Amino acid sequence: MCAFAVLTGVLFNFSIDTTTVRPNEVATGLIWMTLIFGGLLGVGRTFHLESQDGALQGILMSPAPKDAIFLGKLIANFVLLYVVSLLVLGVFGLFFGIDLDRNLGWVVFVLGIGSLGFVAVGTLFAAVAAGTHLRETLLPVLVFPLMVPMVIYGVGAMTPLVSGRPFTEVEGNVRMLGAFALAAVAAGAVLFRYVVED
Amino acid sequence: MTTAGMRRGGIVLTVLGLAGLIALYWMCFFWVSTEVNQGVVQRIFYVHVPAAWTSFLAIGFAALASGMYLWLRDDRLDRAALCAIEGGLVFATLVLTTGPLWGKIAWGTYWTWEPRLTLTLLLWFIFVGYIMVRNSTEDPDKGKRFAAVVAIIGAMDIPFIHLSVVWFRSLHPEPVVAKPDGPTLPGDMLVTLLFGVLVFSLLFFGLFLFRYAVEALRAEADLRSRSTA
Amino acid sequence: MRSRHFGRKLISARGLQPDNKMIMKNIVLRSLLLSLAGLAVTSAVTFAQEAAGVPPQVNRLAEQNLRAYWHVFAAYALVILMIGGWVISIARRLRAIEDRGVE
Repeated sequence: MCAFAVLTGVLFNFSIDTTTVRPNEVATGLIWMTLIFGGLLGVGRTFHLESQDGALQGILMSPAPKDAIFLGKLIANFVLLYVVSLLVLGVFGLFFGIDLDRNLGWVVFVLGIGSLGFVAVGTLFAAVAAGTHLRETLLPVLVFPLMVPMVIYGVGAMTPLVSGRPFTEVEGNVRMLGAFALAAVAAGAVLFRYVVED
Repeated sequence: MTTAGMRRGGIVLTVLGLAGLIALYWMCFFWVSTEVNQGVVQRIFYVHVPAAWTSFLAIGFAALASGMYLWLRDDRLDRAALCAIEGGLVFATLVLTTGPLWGKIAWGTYWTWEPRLTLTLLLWFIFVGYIMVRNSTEDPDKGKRFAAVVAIIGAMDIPFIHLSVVWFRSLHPEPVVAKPDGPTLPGDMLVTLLFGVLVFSLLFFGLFLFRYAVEALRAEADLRSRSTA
Repeated sequence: MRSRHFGRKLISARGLQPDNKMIMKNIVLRSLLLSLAGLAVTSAVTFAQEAAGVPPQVNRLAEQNLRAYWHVFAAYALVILMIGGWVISIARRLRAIEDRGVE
């Protein structure tokens, strides 16, 4: 994970032309894109373990309600992605010269909501993808279109925060991000049972 | 409604729609006035916007049918969703092809991140995702369930995408702001537009019914071949 | 089946024995021909209008050089192509089912 964050930062650095664009202007966008690509890799393997040896059937036969299983997976994925995103924030802050002292609490909060929204959608569709023979290659097609609002609101919230603007300016964006994450978790919890039933 | 009745209804609506299409073409080429700023190319608007409308109608219908399918497990609902998605894909493709044709002349560029176009692009991928998922499982029932979930989540996301893209665009306005559908759309343009919406909806429903009847026949044939095999 | 009556009217006028394949083909062909005829008439009249003088209240279409904006014609042609394409794909599926039913 550390390596992923650092090396992605390195590659991004070489992909920007620093004569025409200032790195700290695009850094927040790059952080979110790294979050998305890294998250995609992570959630893709969510059900990999269970798809082997019929472990998924075993879990489903237990008396635990299906949405609890989903939320369990969700929390696990969330913790993983959130830790990675904080790492990415630190590393990209270093590489692209973002001053992280400003609004750090809010920035971390926004990253958290973004991670939550992403893993909610990602975990649900990982379950779908695990049941098809396309598996992980299906995930981008399903997940990326739905991530557009998250990227727009997430970057829209984080860029002013990182430049030192007060939180009240980006409150609207954060609200929308929160609404998206909430809706995603709720929808995932409700629809998960239809995905995993036999 | 019987399959035969639906087939006939579908054919009737489709023929009506095609006749309407010819009337629409006549209106677009001869009757409606030319827009002042963009000139002739603005006439693409009268097929571009109705097609977008119809594709959103399609996803709404498909999501509704999918939700009911997950609840009631009636295969007919799943078939209805599939047919709606197919129709939606056709019209979304139309939007995405006529848009750049229009944009190249009106805005000087083939692609622009205009809210309607962006939303339709993402909708197009939701349609494609539905069809991909439905056909990629070994167990067909599983495929139907997965696809239903895709349709529902996709439809839920549409309002979010719309809001976010509109907000994003308000920060980055296009250099040439073309407003053919501003609040003061002249009378004849409005009539043509609404007629276009009507015609496209007719075509969508007609072909949807026909496709649905064909799908029902296919399911019947599958059932027969499985029971005789 | 009542749909048979509908198809029969179209085909038995020719004294042929109707079946679903022919009915479908008939309908598709007629619709396409109708549309193409419409398009042909449209373009013919447009070019005629361009050549002759037009009544002032009709449109300024003829004042502008239509040939520069082939995009408009491409877009409208695309509409016909895509919808026709869907019609044809449905017809092909129907034919496939019919063939399966026959064997």
